[in-house]
This record gives sequence, structure tokens and C-alpha cells, in this order.
Amino acid sequence: MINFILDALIYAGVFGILAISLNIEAGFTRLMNYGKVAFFGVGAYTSALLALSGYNFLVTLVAAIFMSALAGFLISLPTLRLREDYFAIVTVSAGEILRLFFISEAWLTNGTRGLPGIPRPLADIIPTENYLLFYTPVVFVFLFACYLIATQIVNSPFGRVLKSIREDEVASKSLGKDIFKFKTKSLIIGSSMAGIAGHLFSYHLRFISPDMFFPVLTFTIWTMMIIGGIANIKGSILGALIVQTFERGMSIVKDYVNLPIDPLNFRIIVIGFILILFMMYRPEGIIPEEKTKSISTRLEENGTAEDK
Amino acid sequence: MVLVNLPQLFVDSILTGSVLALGAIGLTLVYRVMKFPNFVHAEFLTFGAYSAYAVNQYLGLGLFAGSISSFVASGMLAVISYRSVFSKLENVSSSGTTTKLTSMLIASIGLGFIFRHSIQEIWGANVLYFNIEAPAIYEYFTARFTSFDLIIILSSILLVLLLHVFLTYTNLGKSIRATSDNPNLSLISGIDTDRVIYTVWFLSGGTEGFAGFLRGVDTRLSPWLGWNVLLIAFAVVILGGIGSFYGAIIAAYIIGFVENIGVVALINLDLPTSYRPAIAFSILILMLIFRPQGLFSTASDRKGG
Amino acid sequence: MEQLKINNIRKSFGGIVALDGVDFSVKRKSITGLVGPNGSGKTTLFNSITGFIPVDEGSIKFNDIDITNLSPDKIANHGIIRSFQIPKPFSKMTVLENVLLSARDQLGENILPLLFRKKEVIKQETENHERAKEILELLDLSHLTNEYSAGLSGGQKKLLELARILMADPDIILLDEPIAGVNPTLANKIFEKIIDMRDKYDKTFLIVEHNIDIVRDYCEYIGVMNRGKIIADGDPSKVFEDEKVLNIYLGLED
Repeated sequence: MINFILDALIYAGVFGILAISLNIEAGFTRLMNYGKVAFFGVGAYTSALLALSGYNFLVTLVAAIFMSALAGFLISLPTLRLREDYFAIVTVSAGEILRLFFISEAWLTNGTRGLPGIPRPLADIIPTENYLLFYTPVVFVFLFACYLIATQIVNSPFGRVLKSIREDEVASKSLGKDIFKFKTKSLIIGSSMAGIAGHLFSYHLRFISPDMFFPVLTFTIWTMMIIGGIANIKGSILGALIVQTFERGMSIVKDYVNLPIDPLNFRIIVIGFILILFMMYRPEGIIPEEKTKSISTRLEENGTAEDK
Repeated sequence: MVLVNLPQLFVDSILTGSVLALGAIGLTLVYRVMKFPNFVHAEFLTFGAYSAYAVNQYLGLGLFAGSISSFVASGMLAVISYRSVFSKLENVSSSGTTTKLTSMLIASIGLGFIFRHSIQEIWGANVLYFNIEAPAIYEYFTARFTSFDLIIILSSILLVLLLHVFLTYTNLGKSIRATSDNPNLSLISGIDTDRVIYTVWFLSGGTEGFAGFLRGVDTRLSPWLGWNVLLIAFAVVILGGIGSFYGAIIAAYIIGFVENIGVVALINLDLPTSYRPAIAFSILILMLIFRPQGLFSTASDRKGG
Repeated sequence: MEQLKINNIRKSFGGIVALDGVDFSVKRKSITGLVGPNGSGKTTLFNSITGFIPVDEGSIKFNDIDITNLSPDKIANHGIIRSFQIPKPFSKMTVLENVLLSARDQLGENILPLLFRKKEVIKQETENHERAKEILELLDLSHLTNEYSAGLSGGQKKLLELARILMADPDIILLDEPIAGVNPTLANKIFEKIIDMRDKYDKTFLIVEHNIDIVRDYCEYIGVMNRGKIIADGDPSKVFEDEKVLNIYLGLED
């Protein structure tokens, strides 16, 4: 039972990182990235392959971040100047091409059979039955780190430019901001974080295969971001928790109650309804956009205190 | 030079193109009218196939009944989708966070989840086949094909012709073309845009449903039937130019040929054939980067890019 | 001294000629006006200078640097900052944030300095903060510092446009009909601010404007456009006595 909860928490943590990464791109920069699963997959496969070749957890982490960032950069070059709907279609397609790559290049990825036996870090020190007790905090440390980094970025002058791009590209350009450069950086940051998530994921499952990286995963991450709140980093974590709780809840219910509907289908149908209802009635999500906590905000607050 | 069976390649390409044409026509019309890429079209395809299956399994009827039911069922599903979801979103003003395009796109994905997994709930996740007699097999020159293949190609051409006649010679059809070209002008000129929109959705859904049915006959049924075709259908739509009925048809056959030639190339180059869908995706991405208005654009398309 | 030199600019849209060989220049520290009837090409010229519309022929030089057909952000970074006829505030940002954004050469806009030169970033941000407050004070917007710009009135949004422009520390300021749709009191206030900005900060102004009275009162030099060409230029009082100009405005020209 406790392992069940820990497993759920680990998933929530990993997807929390993904939701944060998407929020930076879509929530703050209005980059409609529908190919998020691709960068997640690149991170996961990079870590897995290097881990299986004997490299340690930290080395594979750096590699995963680098490869996903690189993937983000390469994708951004030809696509960032496209308008919103074209960008959406291209990113979904790019994600699918990557998945086909994982399936087809069996000499590297073992194709559809996947990569089993990914070694756990410190597995020789920590007994198997307690492993999740160790790994869960590890994931949460990374989640917290991503949360800090994201919050810093979003409240910085850099984040301010991202928001201006989101609100009005033309005005932003007229004030000297190189839109393309900022969008690229936003995508690279988001992709790197997705790489971290992929890294943590592959070590947790100890097995990855191409059918873990369908477009459905991207849309699930979108759901988490939308529920939690657009342009709200804390909200992304909340969204991930909510969706994960719901999914786990469903599988528990399945064991105890005889539902007329297969909970796997029910789960996704409910998510479908949630997406539609949010779009109709509350597109900004549960928690509205955070007030900026930048250097200037602090200066303002201190200033008013002094005035008094 | 290379291992290739040209007549077979020809037949396969026409076959692929025929199904793609039907899959893309509905998609391109709705994209133009609603101004967003509608991902739930995948489920119109799937539902069409499964409706025909239901008619075949439970009513014991043959392919002809199946084809009609696929068109009607998916047509209605499309109208219901528009009525319950998309028409409501059209009126929601763009909040600061999401554009109208985004909210409709995401809603279409949500709707797709609902439909796809409802289908999966009813009929299961496993692959299904139509319960029909094995087709006759023909051989012409070095090409091998079945009577089903012939039926698919011919019925696709027939439906395309019917649609062409409808769009060109009926008043409603002309109204559809006018609204598609210039929505604001047609509104002022007194065209009943509501009627036009519902008809477009019904015909699009129906055509998709029929395409799904053909695909199910050609291959097999699964809840992912539509999704597997959807991205390639988008490639056709973009290649042909969004909103172009004739562009979609020509682009479908072009991609049909390119895909099949591509498979031959993959085989000859000793590359995995699992890359097949990547061929269409690559065309899609290249088109969007270099010529997003497609092959058959109108002036307004070029500006809208 | 000629700060902005426009030479033989031509631009067509399909079959329509919008700019038919425009020659014009703007002197440093002047308040120069650009007038003309609707469709004369003022807006097209304005957008060409600021990089939003590429020209077919001709050259635009700023301080003798060729800026023809550069992208808008590059042109802005040369010190040419524009306003928009319908103000474009960043709605989900406060008035202060709108102004802070406009500062150029911000260290904090790059990722590496955020990580490794934190102290410098904070210092620069604090300095920008001071400057922003001064500018908001100058434009009577101080009381709105922490308000979201979406909630501002039309007139306040126009003043915010000016605040942003000032913060961007331009060499030349291009204003696209700054008092369009604004009541006469506010209109005069805006132009008083423009004069303040010119005197206090040494700025050059090029203003596209419809209102003849305002132009006559505040501009030292104007150009009149019609059908894609400059047909008269010089001192406003002389220009408005020019027959060609009168003909356009009285509708006598065909």
C-alpha cells in the first residue's frame, strides 16, 4: 500500500516537472507545444541508454538535459516563426516522428521491445523494499529545484519579456525585443526540464519503450497545466497532483467496486470532459496567474512601507 | 536499379490516395470555416468504421448498408460535436490566457478522448474485422489487388463526384463555397450561415465516416483507426491548401504516391518500413515551413499565414 | 543636422502603389510633423521606417547608418522607438512592468547573467526602477504604478505609450497619431509632455498627425504627403499657404 502511494507521488513529481516546463512555454510565452512528449522521451531514452552502458545517475542526468535541450533547439529553428495552429500541428508531428525513430532504430533503442533493466542508483546500498522511500524524496528535490528555477525565470526581466511576447508580439518587437531569440530560449528551457522528468522517469520504471510516448501523454500534461492554472507554477504542481490522484483513485475503485465502465476508459473520458468544461467556463485554470514577484515588486513593497 | 513493381506501386498509391482524399476533404472544409485544426475528426473516421461494423455484426447487413450507416452516423456525430461544444466556444471571447484557436483545439482533443474511449469501452481495445466473405483477387500485369480495393477506389471517386456536384450545382453547395471563401461577405449577403455550417459539419463528418469505413475494410478496426490517419490527413490538407476541396483530392493522391514510393525506397535502402508515416509527416513539416498556403492557395490564404 | 534621411522610397502592394518615391528628412531635436489625407501613404511610410513593412526600393538612413528593411527590433535597438495609434499596453502586466520592460540592454533578459551575475542584474533593475518612477511622475501616471494596464482609460494608455517610449531611451521618437480620438484638453496635455520630453531629454520627434491646428502649433517642420509622395515640406505656416496643399485639403485636386 505504501509503495502504491509512493509510486503515485513519484508520478506526480515527474509530471509536475513536465507541467511546469509546459507552463513556461505555453503559459508564459504562448508557445503551443503539442509535442512535449518528444522531449520527455528524448530525456528518458538518453538516460536509459547511458545508464545501461554503465554511466551513473548524475552523468546521465546531464546528458538527458543536454539532449532534450538540443532537441528543443533543433525543433525551434524551423518552426518558431509559424503561426499558432501550424506550430501545434508541426509539434505533434515532430513528436510522432521521434516515436517512430524510437521504434525503428532498434539497433539503438531495441525498438518496440524497449529497454529493460535500467539500474537504480544506490541499489546496492538501499534494500529493495525501501527503495521507493529513498527515490520519492529524490524526485521531490528535483521538483523543488525546477519550481525554484521556473519561479526565478518567470519573475525576472527575462520572464517579463516572455510575458510581453505572450501579450503582444508587435509591441514587444517595437521596443527592441528579439522575439525569436526569446521564444527559442523558452523552448530550450522547457525542453531541458522535460529531459529531467524523462531521466527521473526511466530510472523509476527501470524499463522504457516507445509506446510510453504517445501524443496522449502531451495532452495529459496540457490537462494538468490547464487545471492547475495557466501561468502559475504552483498551479502546475497542483494540476499534476489532482490528475494523478484521480487516476490512482480510479484504479483503487476498480478493485473494490464493480463499475459498469472500465476505469481506464472512464478516466480518460472524464479528462476529456474536464478539458472541454475548462475551455468553456474557466480557461485560465483553477489558480489564476500569479502576481509577479520580481525585484521591482519588492522595491515597490519596501518603498510603500517606508512611506508609511 | 532498384526492386520495384511499378503496376503494384500504381495500384497501391491510388488506393492510399482514395482513402486519404475522403479523410482530408472533411478536415479541410471544417478547418477553413472554423479556422482551427480539428483533432476530433480522427474519431469521425473511427466512429464511421465502427458504425458499419455494428450494422454488419448485429444486423447482419452487408457492406453497402455499412457504408450508408458510416456516413450518416459520423455526420450526426459531427453535428452533435459542433452543436454541443464548438458553437459554444465560438462565442466565448478570447480571454487573456487562451486564444479561441487554442480553446477549440484543446476542446477537440478532449472530445476526441471522450469518443475514442467510449468506442473502446463499447467494442474493446482489441483489433476487429468486418464479418464479410473474402474478396476476389485479381492480377493485372504484375499488380495484385482485391475486389475490395476496387470497391474502395470506385466508391471514393463516386463520393467525391457526388460532393463535387453538390458543391457546384446546388444552392446550398454554392453557399458553402461562398462562406468558405468569404465568411463576412456571405453573412451580409443573406446566406443562412447556420444552415451552411451545419451542412459543412454533417458532410465533413459523413465523408470522414465513410473514409473510416473504407479504411476498416482495407485494413482493420481499432479505436486508434482515425488517429493513425489524422496526421497524414493534415499533411494532405496543408499540401492541398486549407479549405480547398480540389486541392485536398489532388494532394491526397500525391501523398498516396509519395508514401508508396517512399516505402519502396525504404525497402531498397534497407531502412525500417515502420518509418512509413514519417514520410507524410516530413512533407507536412516541410510544407509548413516553406509553403504553408499549400499548392493551391488563394490570395487570402497567403496573407493569413 | 539630418538625423533621419529617407531617399526615394517606393512600395507597392500588388498593383497598388503606396509609396511613389518619397524623399524626406528629419532634423535632430526637431518636432517634425507628417500630414496628409487618408490613403496618402503616411502610415505605410511610418511602418517602413520602423521595419514593419519592407520597401521595394530606396533607402532609409539614421545617423548615416542604413536601416532599410531591418527587422523592427533591430531598428528599435538603433534608437528609433515608435508608438501605436491604438495603444498596445501589455494587459496582464502592471504599468510599472510595462515601463520596466521598455528599458534596453537589460542584463536580466539573458539567462546566464541571471544565474551568474545576479548582483549586477539586481543593481541594474534597481536603477531602472528609479528611472521608471521618474518617467511615470513626468507623465502623471504615478498613482497607477501597480495597476494592471488593462484597466487604464484610453487617455492613460496613450500616456503609458509615451512612458514606455521614454524608458526605451530613444534617439528619435515616432508617434503615430498620438492624439487620435482624444479630447482637446488631453491632446494639449500630451503635446505639452512631448515638448517637455524634447526639452528635458533632447529627443527628436516625427509625428504623423491629422489635426492641422495641433501641427501648426507644435511642429517646427512638416511634410505633406499625397498619393505616396511628399508634395510640400517646410515651415508649417508657409506650407499651409501652399496652393498644392490647400487643394488637397479643400478637395479640389482630383
